[in-house]
Amino acid sequence: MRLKRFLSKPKYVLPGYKWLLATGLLLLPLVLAACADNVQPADIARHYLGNVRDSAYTSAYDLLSNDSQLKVSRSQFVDRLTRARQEAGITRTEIIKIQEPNIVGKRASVAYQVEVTLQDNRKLPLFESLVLLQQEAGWRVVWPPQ
Amino acid sequence: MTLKLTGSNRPARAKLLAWAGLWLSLGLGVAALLALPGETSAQTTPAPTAAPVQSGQADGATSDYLSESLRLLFPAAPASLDWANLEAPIFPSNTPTFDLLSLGILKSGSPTPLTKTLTLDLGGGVRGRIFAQPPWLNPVPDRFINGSGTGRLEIILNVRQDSGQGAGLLPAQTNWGHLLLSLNGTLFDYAVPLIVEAPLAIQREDGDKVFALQREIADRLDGQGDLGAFIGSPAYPNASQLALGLAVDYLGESEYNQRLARTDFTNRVAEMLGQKDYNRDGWVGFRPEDILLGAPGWALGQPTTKK
Repeated sequence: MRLKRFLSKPKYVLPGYKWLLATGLLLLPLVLAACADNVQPADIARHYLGNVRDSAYTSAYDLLSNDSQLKVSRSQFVDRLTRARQEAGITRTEIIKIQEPNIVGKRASVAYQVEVTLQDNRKLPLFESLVLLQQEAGWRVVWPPQ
Repeated sequence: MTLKLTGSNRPARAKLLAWAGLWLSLGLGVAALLALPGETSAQTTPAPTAAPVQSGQADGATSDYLSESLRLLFPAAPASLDWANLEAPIFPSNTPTFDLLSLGILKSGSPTPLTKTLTLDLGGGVRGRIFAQPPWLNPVPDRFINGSGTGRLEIILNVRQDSGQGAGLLPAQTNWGHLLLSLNGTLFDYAVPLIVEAPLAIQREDGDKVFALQREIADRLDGQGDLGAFIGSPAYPNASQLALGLAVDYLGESEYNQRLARTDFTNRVAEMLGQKDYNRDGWVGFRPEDILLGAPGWALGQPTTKK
């Protein structure tokens, strides 16, 4: 009875802007989901590889999957990749090709070719592949890749 | 005559029941302590990683376990499980449970074996085991003991290059090895990348050829509804990269001396990744005769399991 009276009284009817607010709150999860970047796996791979090429490992770390970030800290990732590059004697990395991804469900692989230049000026062509996972934030890179 | 609970005798009965319950629970507790002393002492053992196993479990007489002196002579033999007189290990709080150990670059046709040393500073009593994957990564020693105090151990990481016998290195890519170091049951994980040079026949401008062959493998798997196996599986976590390495190997070896047809190669790799017999010839993956033609020995497949 009270509810009936409450609903029947015109003063308790929500004004227009409150309906808007309520609708907004209901749609909030959808809006948040949409905030995940819609960048395609090949573009994430291109961005990641560009960062690795430029030794911008801090930025590259942002593109790692959640599990990868749990496994290795940002400082450790930066330190180890910097050291690995030095120990291998790599002075320059050039991205030659990035292939279209193969996508199955929430997993994707992106094959690519790079050419690394060593301290003795030798150039090595390398053919590699990244594994990516679709997560809440968008497609992210699995590291280490195997 | 029936006894009725009245307002006056209800508290007295409740009191009686409470005392009875208390004594019963105390009695049960004492009985449990007397009957299960083992369980009680185990529950109070602190620090699960450092807790020594009871020395009675070790059996030096079994053929699996050798004495300390024999173990020094045969480091590859399994270490004893005797934990007597072993101090608790000391792991500094900043010890990472995951680390990267880069092996650098393996030059094509290099006669010098590639090795790298991993130094472990051990504190306290430590029994260690090292498990390595895949077979190209070979740590020596793969088990060790530091009974007490501090000690320094150098572990040599050897790279096996005998591809015919199962080493499994792939050309023109980063090969990822894994070391799992177990110190008294606490696990430390090491990723070990090694870049292997391309064969001379594969140059920068050969990218299209390599990717085209890799694409054929993906299409073969996709045609069987198994494209997922091309991305990764428990057996091949980065199958796409494995397919690239095999494609480089095949093209770099002149299609295995022009004796393994491209369609056969594509099907062999697809079967290997999908772990299925797609052409129903009773064999999954590379056949023994393919190895003789030039396919890597470690990639040898297996007969289809009959059900």
